[in-house]
Amino acid sequence: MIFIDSDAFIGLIIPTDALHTAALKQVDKLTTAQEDLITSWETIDEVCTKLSYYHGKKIAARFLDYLESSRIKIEYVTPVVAKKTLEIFGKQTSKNISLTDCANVAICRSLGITHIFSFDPHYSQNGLKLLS
Amino acid sequence: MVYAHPMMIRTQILLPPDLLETARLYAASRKLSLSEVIRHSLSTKVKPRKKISSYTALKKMAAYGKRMKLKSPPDFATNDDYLYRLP
Repeated sequence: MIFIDSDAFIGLIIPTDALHTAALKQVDKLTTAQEDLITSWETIDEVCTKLSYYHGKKIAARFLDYLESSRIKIEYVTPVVAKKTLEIFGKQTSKNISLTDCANVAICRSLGITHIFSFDPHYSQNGLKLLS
Repeated sequence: MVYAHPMMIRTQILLPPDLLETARLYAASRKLSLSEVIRHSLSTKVKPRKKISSYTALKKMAAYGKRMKLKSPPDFATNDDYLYRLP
């Protein structure tokens, strides 16, 4: 199972984004592997908020529609995972890692997920393998 | 056909008396419960949405962005400041 982070979603959706080509290539590779995909509610929140603020609600709603129509699993933070998230957040030395990133790490650890579809090096610093 | 499901949720609905009577008669004539008739009727009208593969969805998202000619700064995916409308 592979976790998808917000930078991968946005990189895919926005053709002018610096990550667009790399994200598309990654999807092609993943399509061959046919691994199950999972994301978090926090990730969806980030993608939706960014899309809505910058491109409008209609674009954000369409993202949600594609997500809802797919087999991409959505994981929610439980109280146990929230506690782990805070522990992970407390151990970070970089001010640029968000609580959402830490929640995603905690979710991956709780589910035994080792690979993440993301371009954010903070994840590899926290034991996850980036696909890119 | 009996539309049984291991988990059932009790709910309340409002029906006009004549529709309720017709439904009861329909159920009785077929030796079905009213619940079975309602479940069967609903299941033919309200079908769960078929899920597409995760990868098809990702490709559709990319195609939609291209079709809509979405333009944002190259660091839009990675810069969290856009979450707060800062830049």
